[in-house]
Amino acid sequence: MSKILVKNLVKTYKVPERRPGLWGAFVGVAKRTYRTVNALEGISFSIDSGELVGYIGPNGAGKSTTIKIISGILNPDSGTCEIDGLVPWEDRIAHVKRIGVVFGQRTQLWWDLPVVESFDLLRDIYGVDPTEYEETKNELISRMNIESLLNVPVRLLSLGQRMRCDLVAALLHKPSILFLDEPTVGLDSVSKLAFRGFIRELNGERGLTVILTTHDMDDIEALCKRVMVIGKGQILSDGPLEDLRSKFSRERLLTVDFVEENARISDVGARVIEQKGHRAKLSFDPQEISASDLIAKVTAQHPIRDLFVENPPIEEIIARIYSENSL
Amino acid sequence: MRGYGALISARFRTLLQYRSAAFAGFTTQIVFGLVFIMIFEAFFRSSSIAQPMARAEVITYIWLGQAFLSMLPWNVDRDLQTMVRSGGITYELLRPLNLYWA
Repeated sequence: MSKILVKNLVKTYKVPERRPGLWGAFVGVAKRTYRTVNALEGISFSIDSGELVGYIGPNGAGKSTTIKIISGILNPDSGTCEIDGLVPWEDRIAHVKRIGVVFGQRTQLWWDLPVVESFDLLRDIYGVDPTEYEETKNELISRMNIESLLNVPVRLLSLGQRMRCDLVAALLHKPSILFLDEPTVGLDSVSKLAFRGFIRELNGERGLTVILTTHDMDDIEALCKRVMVIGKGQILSDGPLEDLRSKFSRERLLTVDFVEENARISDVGARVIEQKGHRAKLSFDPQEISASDLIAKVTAQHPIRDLFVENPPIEEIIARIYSENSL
Repeated sequence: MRGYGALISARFRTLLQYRSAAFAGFTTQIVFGLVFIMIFEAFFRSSSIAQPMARAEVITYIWLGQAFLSMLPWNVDRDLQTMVRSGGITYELLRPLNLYWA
């Protein structure tokens, strides 16, 4: 049975508009015109227990709207959603007890209080059993390495430290679903890697269901087996990352360092996309020519120093999906 | 109910975080309390008719008023105002609590 079942979610926003200038401001008071924005135009998906799903899309595509609806803080115009048998916006309190949410852009800790007091406050708000709480807390604190931060007010933490504390805060009540909304924005590489490692562990060992929205494709590549792409309020693609890759581009890249400068390559069955000094970049389709054939042909023409084959960055594939759908 | 109690206590501790602000607020409340008492004292001394409230009661009332001043509805919590303006208040719905203690 699927853990999260979403069917035909529709949400439109009414945005007030006013004409420019002072007169426009007066007119706006008496008669207001609205523009409707279709944030979601029928989103459907289902997520099984223990999945780690990436949810990506350009700005304004409806990612946050979806997250808000499935976390129970926004009512959709129509459509259904069932999470563990509950409708988020109808059984909000029972529902939010089972989920953990981390927003990279904002903290859910109390700004002026020491970290540990925020944790204790969350214990009382979520009504967690004190002994169970101590156990979970100590485990998470040592796992995330935040012992030294516990008595520091949240406002004095660096972003990386705050994110670690925020993640602990989201897990204190042992949720079975975790929503991460751009959790790695602004983190340095070390924090990012640590963060990903922990998410992978939560998902793998504890079977937490995770939905991750991000603009960082490295997050997606490192974590998600399944990726949903949303654009203009509709799901454009849903499936494993590899499918996404092969559906939109079978292209591979071969980078060759020649011994001589500006070596001419001709008729190898691949397109030269860049050549500068000793280095050349070739793009090829592995269904037309295999990598080994191509390498054999190139090395036959010129002596080479080094070479490597790579996938086009996922970033480019996503950008291509966006532009094909004119987003 | 534990949650609401914890929130009130957290709010109190938050206010104590800024020591000079807390101290200044405390002093202001005391000074104004004394000023109010002086005004009523003047009324009591200059009036010859019996008053509906005894002096001791009035003074108790004033001190209670000063103590609970920050709970008066025109003293809206600044943090709350900012949250309403920015829309961040909606995220409070992620907590398993109702808006009202019921």
